[in-house]
Amino acid sequence: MKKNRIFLITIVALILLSGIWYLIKKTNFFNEIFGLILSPFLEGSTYSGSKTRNFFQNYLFLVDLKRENERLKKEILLLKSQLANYKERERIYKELEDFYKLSTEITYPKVAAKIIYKPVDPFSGIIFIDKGSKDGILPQMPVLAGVSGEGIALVGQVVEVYRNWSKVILLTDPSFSADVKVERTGDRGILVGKAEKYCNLQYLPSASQVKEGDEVITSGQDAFFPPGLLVGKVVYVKRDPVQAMFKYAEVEPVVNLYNLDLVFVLLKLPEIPL
Amino acid sequence: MGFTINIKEIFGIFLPILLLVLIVKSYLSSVLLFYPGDMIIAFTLAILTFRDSGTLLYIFLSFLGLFESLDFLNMEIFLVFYFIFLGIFLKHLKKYFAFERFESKMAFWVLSIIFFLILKYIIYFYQVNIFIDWMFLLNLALKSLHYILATFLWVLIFYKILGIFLYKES
Repeated sequence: MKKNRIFLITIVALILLSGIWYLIKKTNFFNEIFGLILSPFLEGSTYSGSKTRNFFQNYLFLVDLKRENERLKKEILLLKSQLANYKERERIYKELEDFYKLSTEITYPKVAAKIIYKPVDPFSGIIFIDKGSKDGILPQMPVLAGVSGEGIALVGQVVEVYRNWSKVILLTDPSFSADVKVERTGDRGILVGKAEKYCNLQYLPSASQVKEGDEVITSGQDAFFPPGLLVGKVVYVKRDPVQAMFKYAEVEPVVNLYNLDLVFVLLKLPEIPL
Repeated sequence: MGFTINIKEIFGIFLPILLLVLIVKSYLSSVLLFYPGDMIIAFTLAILTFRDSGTLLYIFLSFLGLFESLDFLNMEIFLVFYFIFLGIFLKHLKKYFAFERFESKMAFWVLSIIFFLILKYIIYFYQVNIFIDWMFLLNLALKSLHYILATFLWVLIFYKILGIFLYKES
């Protein structure tokens, strides 16, 4: 009986605490705790997962080496893994260098963040990053990534921020939308995610001359994203069957969202009160 | 069947396996680059097959709901209530079905996965704002099939694992 009472008091106290926490911090108390406890585990498993994938990609076809070369093979593998490790470090360094070099026209400060967890859900597009409110991140900030040293592109938006981790929706998430324009023609439209490989570009003018291969960039009119950020390429254009006065297009993000491991959060808040 | 969960099982069996589930889920998502199945709902269904009552069970179910909601946006309260509902629903359902039979269990698992998938559809179509064509529907059908098969496979795995630990315990 006494045990039950203590138990009940603990539960009520937890619920009250989470309510007070929400009123003060505007975040989910349990997610803060989960993040604090689980983020090292998730980060470790995601890191080892990507290493395993790299290993299989690199060494899967090397298994039929001769037995007498076993010792040499082991040595080579060890050296190769060391080399892969250095190459990975070099790649991250180069990506950071390229990003900061290419984004000099973006005057907002940026924070580099590692991805600690990708749920890969078939009905959403969410990632968790290892930076949170302690690093100055706030909800609605744009998230960018490097495009193999050739530029930077928009990949998503921060939606929930906790002390040491944040939740980011990718371009493909059904909750994502951005005001964009086609770089060649200047036609504006709304880019929305649909949990598929491609995003939809809606409300293009019916007279628009958009064609496959056109680059899509942010227009800067929605107050969330700065203008001129590369988003993707048009892969398909059609007249909107529901609203004939518009055209719609399918856009392929320029960044491979499945292979992301490093992103940059732009410390930019919406410019108009919403 | 008809067992109450106790604190020893929670800390000795269910919580360590839950931690392992989260790590494996994160690892597989990173290795495979495709959806490995809904491991949390699979784990929940496996638990509910063995244990169906006790305050601790409902608290544990609410935590599972919170973990499931991590992959979504603002779904915490809804999923917590859904997981608790699933526990209560199964407790009463067991009276009317021959739950000792493996076929009945399998039918319950598949129906629960499909029901949860329908809920996911409702949330998805509420969020999504696009024109729907046949290609989109075909993609959705393939994704659903993958979801059901992968999640069902995980239920079988967790059922086997929990069976080993819980029978050893008893």
